[in-house]
Amino acid sequence: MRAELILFGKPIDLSRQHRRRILVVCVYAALLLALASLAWFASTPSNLLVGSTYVFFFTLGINYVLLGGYARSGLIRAFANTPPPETARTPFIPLALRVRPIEIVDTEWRNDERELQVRDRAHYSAYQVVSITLVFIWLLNSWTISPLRFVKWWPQTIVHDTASLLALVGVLLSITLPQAIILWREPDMAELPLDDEN
Amino acid sequence: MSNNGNPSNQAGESGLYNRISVLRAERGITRQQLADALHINYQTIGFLERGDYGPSLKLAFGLSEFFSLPIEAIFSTRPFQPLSQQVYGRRTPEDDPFNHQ
Repeated sequence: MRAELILFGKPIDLSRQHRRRILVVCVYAALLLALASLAWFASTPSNLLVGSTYVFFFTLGINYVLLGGYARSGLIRAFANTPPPETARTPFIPLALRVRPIEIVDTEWRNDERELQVRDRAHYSAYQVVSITLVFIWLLNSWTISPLRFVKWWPQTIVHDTASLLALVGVLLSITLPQAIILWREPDMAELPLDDEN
Repeated sequence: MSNNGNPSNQAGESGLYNRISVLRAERGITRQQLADALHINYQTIGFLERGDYGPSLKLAFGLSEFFSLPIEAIFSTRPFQPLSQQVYGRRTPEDDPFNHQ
């Protein structure tokens, strides 16, 4: 995990756990707001589909700029743990949007064995949450086709829309949750090595 | 940030006691220097020193080679005695010439 983000050329110190937690809360507040807007404004299934696509790409953007993990930039080093290709160095540098210029040095992309363990634990925790979301989607869909129709008074379109929104929630969680768990759990980083008192 | 107290007598989450911080202080090297030598993140050195992370065999051997000490001199499942006591042996109060009790 990196200790700071560089956004629009400004370094933001995120070595403290409480700051990272604030970032995680802000990210999920923004996603919740986007989902609430989608649920409120999408009046037809096609509107819902288009809105979902916007929310999906919005999440990918947040992941790219802030969280990392499934991107080369962001706070979390890439989970893939492989050196970046030569072509991955460029596009956003002119706008200073890239969180951190990518240099092909070990420390920039390589997760050590503890970080890999942390990554795997975070995915295990996230997997459970995503699984629960999948169960809810399955239940909702089952209700609509079940002869028993437990929720007869619920219009079928609302059930379908809710299932679609839940599916989107599952996708968003699978994109962001492992990184958020790591950012939430990791303790304050040690002082900078230069201040190290041995 | 160095550990206050006696890090070699804290097992942390890993259940392993270690002398890494003592050995590092003895040799006057920073966490960053040790981390660079072992190709790991300097934060991981902090986790190791606090006993919050149990290293792989590869990393344990790496530390052993770096400090030129056997692994059991660096890691233990039991609390370490102070190095001075281990080197000079256990003294009873009667052996101590400065003990006037």
